[in-house]
Amino acid sequence: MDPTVEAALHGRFVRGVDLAPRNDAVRVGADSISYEQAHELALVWAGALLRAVRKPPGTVAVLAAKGIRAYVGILAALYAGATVVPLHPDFPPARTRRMMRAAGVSAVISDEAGWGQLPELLAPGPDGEQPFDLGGPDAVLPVLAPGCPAGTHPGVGRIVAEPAGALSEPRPVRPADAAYVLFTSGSTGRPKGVPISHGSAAHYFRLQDERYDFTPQDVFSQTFDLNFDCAMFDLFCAWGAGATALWVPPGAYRELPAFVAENRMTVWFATPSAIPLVRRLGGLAPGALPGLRWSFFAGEALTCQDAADWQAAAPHSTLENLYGPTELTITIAAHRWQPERSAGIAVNGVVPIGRVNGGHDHLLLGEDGQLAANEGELCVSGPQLTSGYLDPDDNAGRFVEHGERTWYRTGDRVRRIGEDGELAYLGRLDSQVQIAGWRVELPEIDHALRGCEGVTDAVTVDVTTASGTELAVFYTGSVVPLSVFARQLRTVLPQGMTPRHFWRLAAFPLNSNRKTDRGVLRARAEERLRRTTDTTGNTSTPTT
Amino acid sequence: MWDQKFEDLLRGFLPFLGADEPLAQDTALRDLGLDSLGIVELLAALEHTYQVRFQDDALSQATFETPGVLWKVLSGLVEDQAA
Repeated sequence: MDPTVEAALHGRFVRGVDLAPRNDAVRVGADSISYEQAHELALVWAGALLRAVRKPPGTVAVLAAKGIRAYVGILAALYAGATVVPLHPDFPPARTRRMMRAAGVSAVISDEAGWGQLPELLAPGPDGEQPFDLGGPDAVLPVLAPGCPAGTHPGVGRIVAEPAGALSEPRPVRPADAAYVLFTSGSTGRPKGVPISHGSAAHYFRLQDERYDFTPQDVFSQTFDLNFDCAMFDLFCAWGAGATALWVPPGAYRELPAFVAENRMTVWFATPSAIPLVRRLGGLAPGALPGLRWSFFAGEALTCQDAADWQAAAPHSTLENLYGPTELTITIAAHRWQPERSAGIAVNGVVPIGRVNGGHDHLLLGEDGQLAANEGELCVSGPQLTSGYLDPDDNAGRFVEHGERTWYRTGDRVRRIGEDGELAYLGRLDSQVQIAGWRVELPEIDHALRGCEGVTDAVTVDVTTASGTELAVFYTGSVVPLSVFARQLRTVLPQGMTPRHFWRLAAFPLNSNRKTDRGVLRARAEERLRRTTDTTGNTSTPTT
Repeated sequence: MWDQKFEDLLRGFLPFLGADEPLAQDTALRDLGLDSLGIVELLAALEHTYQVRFQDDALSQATFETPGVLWKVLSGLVEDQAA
């Protein structure tokens, strides 16, 4: 197929420029940038990137905290026709280094936080691993670090962006070209890279355009980190409509109703754990969020109680529960909340995930690996499916062939409910859980904990509490101060993945297969958390 | 040194501080598990307990860097309140 701009993910921003050139495309605190300004700046940066990389358009990492530069950086990478890899400067450097290597990053856009981290990322890892092959012993990594202190770092070639070198228009792309790469947790302790093509994204956003009625007057919340794919929904739904994406800082939760009203926010999207947080901080009274037109939740199970309370607080909004793994392009199913109907068909008090997106087929796999009629592992095939992980070894067991088609195995157990193809979420099949939207492979945490001095073995379990899913750890060995766990985990795991409870055991309970019985441990953790939960809910002490 | 109310309240937000481990003046609260959303909740709890109001710019990692710094900021607010 011919390369085009229309089908490109960044074609949505171009559409926003046409619809509302003077509107703010993004607001972060007191900073903002209009569509026109962002478009011009991204063309300048894109031109600079293309001149700097050895094999254009390449893969561009955006290593920046929330700020105008992070958003324009993503746009500039796409305008260059490159694949963008959003990276989080707060992530452990060892993890970011692995991601950069896996993605084959050919250039970086950074702010001060990212710029300050680069020397550590470019140094060999503790295990001697290099970040990536720069293409020769004398090669340097091109880095565009606008607004950062002058000078450079060893191994870095600082890119200078000159207005004279701006592209005249965004570069065209082919539908099969990867628009972005995001990483999900891997059981081996190695994050798995998921490339999503412009074609997959185009299908996804066409469906969103049909389903919703966003306009240039809308203001979208931006609660998600940019390396989490729900942020792509915020940005490209807003930008395709000429609307504004507004960063919601943690402090905004202090008085969310005031923040929403002052900023004339109309579209809310967050993980369900935002709801108990807002409730605890007193912002969830009925009618407290009257300006919202749409309320979306995704990333973990949404309870009917939380949905009902949010709906009461935001009575003028349509509330939807969205579902989908990164491998299926942001979200692949949706359920529109209708208080009585939804609660009536819900399973275990959890809001259904609804119908699978148009243009896709799905099937359910039973425990025996055969097709199941009503309940089983959800497998999906269609245009939003990734072409496979960056490392083909990661594909093993994640895809299944059936009827001469490839299906992605979500690892989620679902049940058919109602008459019109809706699905209820029942739980995970494997040891993967979701904490505040992050997919976490529990063995990855176990692996990290076994690296702590004194720990013989460790088992992490997920526990459902009033404030969402929490992680608890049982370990064997000698008593380890919690601060030692904290230090060790911080070097390998993002903050959202860190367990909050640690208990020592003399030995782990075993099941009939002589394997550690995670079910028994989970039940014990639930029991202990019920007993120790006080008003703050998250203090625990090491016990034996 | 801070009062017991402060210590009890703060400990509730520090998952990596064992009940038998002392809370030192200059320990980094972040290392003890205080994250950005924890800061928001802690601030609301402090305002409620001490009947004070933090300014928006107090909601930074700097204010919540260590128990000592946080107590100093809080004591200042309490004194202003009394004055």
